[in-house]
Amino acid sequence: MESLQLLFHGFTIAAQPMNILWVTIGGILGTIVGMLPGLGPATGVAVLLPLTFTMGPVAALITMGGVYYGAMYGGSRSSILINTPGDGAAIAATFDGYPMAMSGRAESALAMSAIASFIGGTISTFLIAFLAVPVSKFALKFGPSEYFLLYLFALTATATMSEGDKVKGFAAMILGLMIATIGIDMQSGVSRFTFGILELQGGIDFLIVIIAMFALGEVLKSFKNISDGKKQMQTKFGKVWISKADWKVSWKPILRATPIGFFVGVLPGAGGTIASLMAYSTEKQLSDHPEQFGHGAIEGLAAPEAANNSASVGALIPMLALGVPGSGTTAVMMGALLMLGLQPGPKLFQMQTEIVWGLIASMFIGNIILAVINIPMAGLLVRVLSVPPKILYPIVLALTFIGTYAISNSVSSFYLLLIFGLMGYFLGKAKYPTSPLVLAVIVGNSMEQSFRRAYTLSNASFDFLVSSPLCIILIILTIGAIVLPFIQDYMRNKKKAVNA
Amino acid sequence: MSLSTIMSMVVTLIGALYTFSTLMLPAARIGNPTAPKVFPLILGIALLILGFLLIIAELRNLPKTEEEKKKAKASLAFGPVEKNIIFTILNGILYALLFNPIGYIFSTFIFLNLQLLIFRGKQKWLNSMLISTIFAVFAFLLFNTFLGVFLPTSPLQFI
Repeated sequence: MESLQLLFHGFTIAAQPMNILWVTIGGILGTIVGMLPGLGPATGVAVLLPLTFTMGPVAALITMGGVYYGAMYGGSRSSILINTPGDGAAIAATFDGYPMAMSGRAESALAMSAIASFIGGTISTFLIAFLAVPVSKFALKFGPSEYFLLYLFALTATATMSEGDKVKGFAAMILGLMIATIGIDMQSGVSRFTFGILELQGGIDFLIVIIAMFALGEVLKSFKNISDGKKQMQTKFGKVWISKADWKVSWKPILRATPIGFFVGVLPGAGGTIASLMAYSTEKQLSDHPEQFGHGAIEGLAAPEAANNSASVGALIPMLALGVPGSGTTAVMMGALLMLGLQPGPKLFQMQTEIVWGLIASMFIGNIILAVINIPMAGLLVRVLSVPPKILYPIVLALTFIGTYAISNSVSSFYLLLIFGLMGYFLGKAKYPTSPLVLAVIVGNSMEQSFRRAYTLSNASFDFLVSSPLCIILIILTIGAIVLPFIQDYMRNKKKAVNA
Repeated sequence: MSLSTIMSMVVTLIGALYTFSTLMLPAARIGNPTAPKVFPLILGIALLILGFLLIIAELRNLPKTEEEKKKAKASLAFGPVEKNIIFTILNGILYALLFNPIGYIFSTFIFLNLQLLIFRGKQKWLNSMLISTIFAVFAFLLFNTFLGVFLPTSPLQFI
């Protein structure tokens, strides 16, 4: 009941005309960035971050929320129309969305993707409204040792559950934590790893690392799309809507995919990509005609679309209620919150109810607005896709520079931007995931502080690791997060060997 | 040698350097003298171990067939994409150097023009200049005037 009251209060904030305007602007800009090949929600929020600098915290968060799910919607547009997913979470939309567009059903595909996203997003916003408070209340009991282990678990899970080599994921995570230790140590005054460079004494601003990795680095990686040439794309559309038959086969998959997406989203490290792929394969298994999947089966588009939007909402729970982000995009949003002087975590729910509930309520409104933008205005928005990347990428580059300047007010941060952007590019090229690194840079400081407090409290020993039942559970979870993917890999290889 | 192999060595090297610098840190004069060192030391040693694991994995997966060797070589190839990246970085450095002396609008105009020139070639220069001008002026107005992020102006003072 308490949640309902708070949610109602949230609506009175989110429904203010200015806030509706912000979520609309954020949604449109996010959709545009999300449509650019290779650029997803994390990039969208990172590039558009400076726009929110002078807003109040509520408006800033609402705008960023709009950018976040706008980019999720946008990612599927380019998947369906040009077979180029904006980001990982939109990959599953290419499986059946693109074949649909090829066979002249682009209108149904665009409409279904928006409808499924809307339903997935709305249901999961209800779930977050009722789950966030209990989670945050539970987290109030956490001491420094629990927090340290929680950070460790979240980072470990992100490192091992992201795509590719697990050891590389860990290396990226440690590199991120190392970046966070640069600068003068606030407690002892010892200057660490600054190598005599004055500009490094204050530490490296994590927002610059975010923009460098997620905006500059991703754009550099996308340079390979520039020489691709122009892709043929449909620009004239009939009525963007679905038929009754489409709805009949899709509503069940949407309702099944939504909870899958939500709970995968809550887990650290998993996120939209895994959620949408899981929803896709579930539907394929349950289907009476699995052979149609991959050839334009509309339920094969509906399920992953519902799941990935639902996952993006679920991912907000650990970030808001625990202060531990579990994905790249929520890490960027947490960075933005910290910049506004707000510490996400259980106390945020106790003291800043306006902000939290304003955001949650604005997610309902944002979902409606985005569905409206993306269905009737689909034809207009996708025109962006016909602007060549040769023009769009330089503009995004210029935005990363002005964003960096807005954060630091100094040109010396341009060099940091370039260094970390290049680092992001090379890491990506050598198949190191960048999300664990960025996550680690953001939580690194808090993680070290809780480590030091716990370490001191147990008289300079590592006893704190087993000081409470919760600690032991977290350690078991962390070990599980390390071991599980290796077992999965092993099983998969064994299966392959048997099949071969 | 592939890029992945080089990166595994770089990671190990960073681990070694970081561990070494941690050990060289002065003792804290306030509180526990080793307090600022413990956490970094764990990180340094962890990265060293991970680096060794990565090198071992690379050695075990050395390319054997001709095809794999070609692939490893291709990861270090210098193509048009790499050329564009180097150019972009140099353009960024030039941007940083010009930013304060000639102000936001002019430096952004030059940065965008050069970037568009390398991507699109000379033919569409007029269109590129138009895009750069519109972006520079629009961004200046948006950030400087509306968002209160004060941007440097040129010696002409007003822009």
